[in-house]
Amino acid sequence: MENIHLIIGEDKYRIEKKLKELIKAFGVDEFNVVTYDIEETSLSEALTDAQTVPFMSSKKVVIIKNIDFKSKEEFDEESFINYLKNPPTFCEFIIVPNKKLDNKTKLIKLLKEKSKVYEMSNLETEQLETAVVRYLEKRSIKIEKKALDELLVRTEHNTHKVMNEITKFGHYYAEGGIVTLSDVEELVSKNVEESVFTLTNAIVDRKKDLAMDIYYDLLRSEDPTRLVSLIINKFRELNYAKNLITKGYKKEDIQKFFNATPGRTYYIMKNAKGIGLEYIEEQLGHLSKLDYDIKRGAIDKKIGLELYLLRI
Amino acid sequence: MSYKALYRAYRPQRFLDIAGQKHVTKTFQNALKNEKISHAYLFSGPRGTGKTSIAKIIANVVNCESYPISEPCGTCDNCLTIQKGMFSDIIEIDAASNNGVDEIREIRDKVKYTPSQGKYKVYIIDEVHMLSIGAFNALLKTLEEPPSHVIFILATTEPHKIPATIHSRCQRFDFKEISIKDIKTKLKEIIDKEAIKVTLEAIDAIAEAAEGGMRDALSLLDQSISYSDDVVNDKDVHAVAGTVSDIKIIDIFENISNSNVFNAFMIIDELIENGKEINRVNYQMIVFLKDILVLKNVSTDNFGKAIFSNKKFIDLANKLNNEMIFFYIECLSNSQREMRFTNNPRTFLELTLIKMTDFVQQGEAGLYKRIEELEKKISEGLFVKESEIKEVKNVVIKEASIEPEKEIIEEDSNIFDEPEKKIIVDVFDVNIITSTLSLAMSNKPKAKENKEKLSKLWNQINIKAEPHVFAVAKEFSQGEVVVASEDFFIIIFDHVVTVNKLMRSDVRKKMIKLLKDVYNQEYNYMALPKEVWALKRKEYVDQFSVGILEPVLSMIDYPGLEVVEEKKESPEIVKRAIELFGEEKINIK
Repeated sequence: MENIHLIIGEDKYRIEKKLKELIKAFGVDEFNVVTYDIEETSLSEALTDAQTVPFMSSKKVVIIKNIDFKSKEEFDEESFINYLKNPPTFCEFIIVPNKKLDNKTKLIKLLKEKSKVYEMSNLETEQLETAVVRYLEKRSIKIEKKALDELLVRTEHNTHKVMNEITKFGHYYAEGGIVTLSDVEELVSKNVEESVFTLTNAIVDRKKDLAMDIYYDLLRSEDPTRLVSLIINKFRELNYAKNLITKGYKKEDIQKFFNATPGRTYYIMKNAKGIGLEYIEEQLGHLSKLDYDIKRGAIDKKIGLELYLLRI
Repeated sequence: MSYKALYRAYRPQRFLDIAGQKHVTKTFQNALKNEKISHAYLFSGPRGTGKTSIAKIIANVVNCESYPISEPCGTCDNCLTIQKGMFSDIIEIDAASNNGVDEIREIRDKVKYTPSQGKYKVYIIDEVHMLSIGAFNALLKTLEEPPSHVIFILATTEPHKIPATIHSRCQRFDFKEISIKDIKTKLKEIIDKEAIKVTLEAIDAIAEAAEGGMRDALSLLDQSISYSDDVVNDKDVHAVAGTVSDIKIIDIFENISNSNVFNAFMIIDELIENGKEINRVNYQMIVFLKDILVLKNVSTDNFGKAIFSNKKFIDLANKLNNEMIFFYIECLSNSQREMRFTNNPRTFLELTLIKMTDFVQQGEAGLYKRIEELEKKISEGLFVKESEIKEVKNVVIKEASIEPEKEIIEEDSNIFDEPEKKIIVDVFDVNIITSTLSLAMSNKPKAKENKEKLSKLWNQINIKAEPHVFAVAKEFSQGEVVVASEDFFIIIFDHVVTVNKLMRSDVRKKMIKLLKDVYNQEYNYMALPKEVWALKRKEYVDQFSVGILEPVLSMIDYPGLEVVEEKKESPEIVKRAIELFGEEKINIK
């Protein structure tokens, strides 16, 4: 029970961190830490290794990655169960599945029962915010609230990305300072999806100024044809949302349907309620014509989209 | 010594020399100084924005003998070899031509060997999006856990083509297009150093044609220098870049809007003689129209383009309406497309010019005007002659007395009411001009003071304008205040269309509100066409100078000026009108 470990959850960054912590805690030299990627080698090979006595040491660590316990060809269930029931004392066995485990199967139930489970689910927004603030505080840097919000939006609330991006601020303000919104805009990579989303909101609200600003900014890194198709997707999303609302779906259901954040669902629903089906059809008509025109060379792609935005 | 192209001679050797990208350079300077270098970077951004330059500088700094420092020392042995390009631990790979799995495998195998000359092996992989999927996967493993002496710097213009797995293993930096201002600064710096004679207009033209890329800017400068005789001017730049100067394009459109297609042809002729390509001219005309749309529809404060402050350009923008511009663009896009299938593109452009001119003369523009007039009539209920109404009235009432369909008559009875009284307000009352001028004449310093008060906050008009009045406010602010009293001023414009618009009661109300926001007091105004003002002023001064203290001006008679504003309004508005203009100036007919 003490030496089988299971690390589950969606937060890759924290999983990696936990893994490193565990290895460090065991105090094993690097020759006796072996990682098996189940996509490349079979589980039985890893099990054999786990049952072999460590080399010049009292302990060894075997790490299993990318396993999902679904395809039976991947591993021999029986020998695995045997291992779980009777693990050798010298081996710390760490399992890092790549997908969510199916809790209903017997095997998983047994696995969870026999191992120490570390759950690394995605952090809540507040937790993430605290983490960022703490990281920066250690380097005597402060961050504006607006900047923090923008940072999380741009990194899609993904711990890995957030941590990756804030190291830049650590360097930028090596002597301390305050991270402002414009710093975030300059240093943190833009999330195209998110920008197109705000762009679509601007189109629906007919805010030409805002739309052009976002467009010019996106143009610095994106291809207009791609933007056109992304905008089309957003309009289709609105169409779906409209239908769902008429069918009586609640906010939570719609959020689940789009797999979106609450803030985003709010806007989708607001926009969907504010516009008519004819409007969506009209816009989709314009956009598909634009797409066709661009692709047959009737109009320059940059200018074509720009003209569409000026016409909203 | 052989000549070295400017963009090579001035490839930045230090972070300080990089144009723009201040955030990126500062981040790296600090990271290098504190020896906090990550093992993989991904640089993305348009061409000529400094990706490879910064990558090279980083490679230089980490291998400089005095590392950790923030800039390469430039004097140690390592720095000198690096500058010569002979340093064996800096490996530059162009992924566009080495995109296979084998090349990447080779890197993978060699990565483990320690650097031979410096402290770090730096792999700079340019155009990394060109790698094949297999190559990306091969790279992935190396990127995940590279030996501590290796730094990977991947550079690309198309970051979305790079797999997410690579993204998450690198620290990403987005390079932005270099602003026109930054390019100009850098160009001036180099021009000073090289002692090149260049006009300011030429620098503007180069910076704009470069589209945010420093390398493009420098090679354009280079070519312009070799092309020009002595001083590089904007004509040389346009000749080299194959672009047409905006002045010419403004000329073309001015001629079109004045229905002078012959002159437009002459300009095209001239352009062709100067070796411009027709396609290019056509394309630039589209871009130009798009710029007009931008000017008319959104705020242009953040654009560095010189054209947005060009007086002629703004005038032209005021003359054209959105509908016309979209029509022009459609014409030009069509000809652009047709041109590809012909060996006589010139014909297409000329035909298009004629088409656009026709539009002004009668075509759709005329149609729109007629529709507008009709709409106006309908909204006023004037689509039947008054005499006919009376006839109809009689007939219907007769019939009604025979057949007892009273309900219908009651329901529609209001149709037969006497048309409501119309108030005709002469918004261009000459008496107002006279009184304002008299007031100004009687106390000149006070009049001057009033005018200064206005001009002081004039630029606020644009800033304080809310989005829905923005376009009008912009036009309004282009006018010139000629005379002002405490709460009233006369403002003149070049075009009668603008004047008509600004004197419309709804626009006027908005502007008066805006003026109140800006000046914190009520201001009323009268807009006049420039010519009318000049005429009336002369009339006044002529009479005044011969001793008439209260000169009498003739009525305004100017083609296109809508002197009378008709309204069908409730008594409340009559009251307001009296408030605004004074009782004696209002005729209730």
